[in-house]
Amino acid sequence: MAMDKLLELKNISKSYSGVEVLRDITIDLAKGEVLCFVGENGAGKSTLIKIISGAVYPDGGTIRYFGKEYGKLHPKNVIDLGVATIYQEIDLVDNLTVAENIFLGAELKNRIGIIQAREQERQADELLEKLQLNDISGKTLLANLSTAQKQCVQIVKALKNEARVLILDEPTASLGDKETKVLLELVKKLAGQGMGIIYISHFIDELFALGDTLLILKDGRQTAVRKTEETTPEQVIHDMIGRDASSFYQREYFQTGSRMLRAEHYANRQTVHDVSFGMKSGEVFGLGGLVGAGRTELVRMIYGADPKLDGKLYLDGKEITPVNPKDAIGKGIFMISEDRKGEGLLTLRSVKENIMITHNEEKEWIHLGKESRMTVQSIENLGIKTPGQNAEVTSLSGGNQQKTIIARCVMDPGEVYIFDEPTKGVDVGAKEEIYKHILNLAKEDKFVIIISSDMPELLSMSDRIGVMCGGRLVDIVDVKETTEADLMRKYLGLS
Amino acid sequence: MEEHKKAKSKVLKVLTSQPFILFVFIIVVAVVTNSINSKFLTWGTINSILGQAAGLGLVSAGATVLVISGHFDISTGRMIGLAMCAMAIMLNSGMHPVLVSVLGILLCVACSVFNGAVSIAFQAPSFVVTLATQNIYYSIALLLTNGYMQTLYGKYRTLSSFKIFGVFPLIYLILILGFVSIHVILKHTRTGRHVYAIGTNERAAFISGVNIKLSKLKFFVISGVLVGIASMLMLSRISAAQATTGYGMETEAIGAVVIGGSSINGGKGGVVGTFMGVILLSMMSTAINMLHINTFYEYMVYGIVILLALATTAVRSYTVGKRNG
Repeated sequence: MAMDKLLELKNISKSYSGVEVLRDITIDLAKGEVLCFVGENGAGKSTLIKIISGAVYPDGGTIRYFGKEYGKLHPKNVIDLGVATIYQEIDLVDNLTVAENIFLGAELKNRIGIIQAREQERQADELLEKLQLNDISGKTLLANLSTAQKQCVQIVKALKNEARVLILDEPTASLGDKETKVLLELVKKLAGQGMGIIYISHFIDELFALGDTLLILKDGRQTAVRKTEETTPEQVIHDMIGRDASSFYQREYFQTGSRMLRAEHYANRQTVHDVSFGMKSGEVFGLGGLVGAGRTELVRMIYGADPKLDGKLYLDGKEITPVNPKDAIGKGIFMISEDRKGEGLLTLRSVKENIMITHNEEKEWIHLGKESRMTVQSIENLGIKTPGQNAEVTSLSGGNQQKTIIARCVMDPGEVYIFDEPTKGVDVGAKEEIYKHILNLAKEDKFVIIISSDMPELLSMSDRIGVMCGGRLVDIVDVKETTEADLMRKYLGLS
Repeated sequence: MEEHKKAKSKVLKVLTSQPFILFVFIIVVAVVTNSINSKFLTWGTINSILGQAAGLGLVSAGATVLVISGHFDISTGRMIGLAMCAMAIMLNSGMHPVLVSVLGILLCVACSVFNGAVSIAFQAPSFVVTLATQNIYYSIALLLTNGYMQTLYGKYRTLSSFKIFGVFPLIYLILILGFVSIHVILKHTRTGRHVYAIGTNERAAFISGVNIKLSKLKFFVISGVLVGIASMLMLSRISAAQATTGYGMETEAIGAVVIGGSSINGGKGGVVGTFMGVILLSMMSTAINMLHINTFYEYMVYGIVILLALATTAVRSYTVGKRNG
């Protein structure tokens, strides 16, 4: 009986710089079982996978692999034990053949070290056949396969390494219906052969179609472990959400203005399809949805940062569609990107240069004295904690870095402010301050659009929330008339 | 008390800065060399060092802008060869020197902008683009001159021989003006801020409303103008040109920028350090000569100085990092 347990996790905990991301996770994986991790964005699913795969070491608790406890394991050791992890991003080389990919790093060589391509292809075909993946050949160039087929090749590669546990992190996120079906079939088959599967997906119907056991996570804790036969989607959603009032921010509400902003028919090639919405000045319009729902892609198009197929922006009936960020700023539209390091901060430069870059666009000559005075004023207004205006911006805490970027955007008067995950990586104290700055803009009768994956944040900041799912704006709800459960159901596409 | 502390930390900052360290190093090398060969610190020697430094200096000032913004132009040496040959041919055909100078500068700006435009259009690193274009410029210079040296027979000397009020060589004024204007551009203008912003995080600069492509072209224009002026000075000094003239200067210029403490990865640095780097490199060969050291060592010394500069930069960023973190 004990041999049937492939993995045993006991009281696993993990914190990152004082923030608890996992606490007391205890779960087993048996032979032939499909175990699903369910939870909102940031509930701790990814961290848990990383711990099992050896990429992250837990602060507390133990993991037994195949009945045995090991010390600190490296990802390579875990793979050698027979636990294969397949991440969402495909981890294969496009310009090698399927067989070469499967044998990458463990090529079959003859005595003088020459790779035996023919033998590799034969063995690859054998493996593919065993899984009835008849439409893939070992000789095919990987680039010629579809995304789903590539996912299958990744699984085959894992099998070749004699994996006994397979971890799949949102494998179907970028797949169509038909492709998803193929992959689910394959997973079922593997479980039938006795393999243990850990499966993560945002699609709740997939979990019910595939899973035996559901581990439901919320804010890093396990709220429930349920057998799929004995539960309902309703029950699972209930387990995923529900918090006490303290995690909600009590915002101040004010009269919305009379001016109108309309975004019409925004679309790009893949991730956003025909999105239109309107909002009043003084309103905070939230955009909710799961990762990959197309929210960031949408606001980037509105800001003019990414190319689009279609889409126009109107302010009081007048078209103001920006063609690029420079144009957007000229028209009073500002965006604070979710990727602070990659797209927000001038990392090697001072707080001053970071705050002033947008304002300095106005004139070629920079009056250094005036610039310095404006910076001091701005640092004070936003409450940025910094040793000085010339300090390197990366020496500040996450919250103060974010305030620096907000300072940049509110230096000159504007109309529309887009906040994409404004409190990501920000400590609790700074969070409230950032909320105040955002709400101040609404109070000044501006248009505020906010994207947040933090459900309490979105609910407590927004007046209305646009729900995105699969690149479409599926619903717009008034916050006063909705609940967390309601919203989660819409995120998941269960109407 | 607070003010006092601030002033103290400011002084400390200057004393540990790369330009200041280089300045001290230059003085030490000069004094040591002079104590062995007393002809080193004479007007004649200093004049010859600074005269040599002028061309390299202007090219390096332009290279500073490119390096801080995350770019390299390794075609500047060939550009100089091409511009000097073209100017020499024009002068020999009787064209007015002023017109020739303007055309020479325009030619370099055109070459430089071409480098920048190709790099933007192909989204290719400028290093690779200029690796290609330098061959084209060299070939054009060979075709123009048929491979022969162009001698000016004393024409176009004014630029290098004119002395303001009979004492201060014009060439020094040009060199100083070149560095001062780049310093002013970097510290006081929007274009300068773009140099640093694009060098440190191009995507953030884009999101903040910077027109990236236009700014990059501006940087190449600045470098082109300086390379053009450098070609003028060199032509006037040497009074002859051939296609190979100037070759090697591009790496020397980037060397001077690195010695000056600008980051090869972009985003940090300044032109004061580059100036010190240029002076150091220019006096080094003269010093080696006057110390009767085998000149075969010259390039070894040059290489070691660059490595030393990298080492001090590394040590500084390590200690600063420790202080902050």
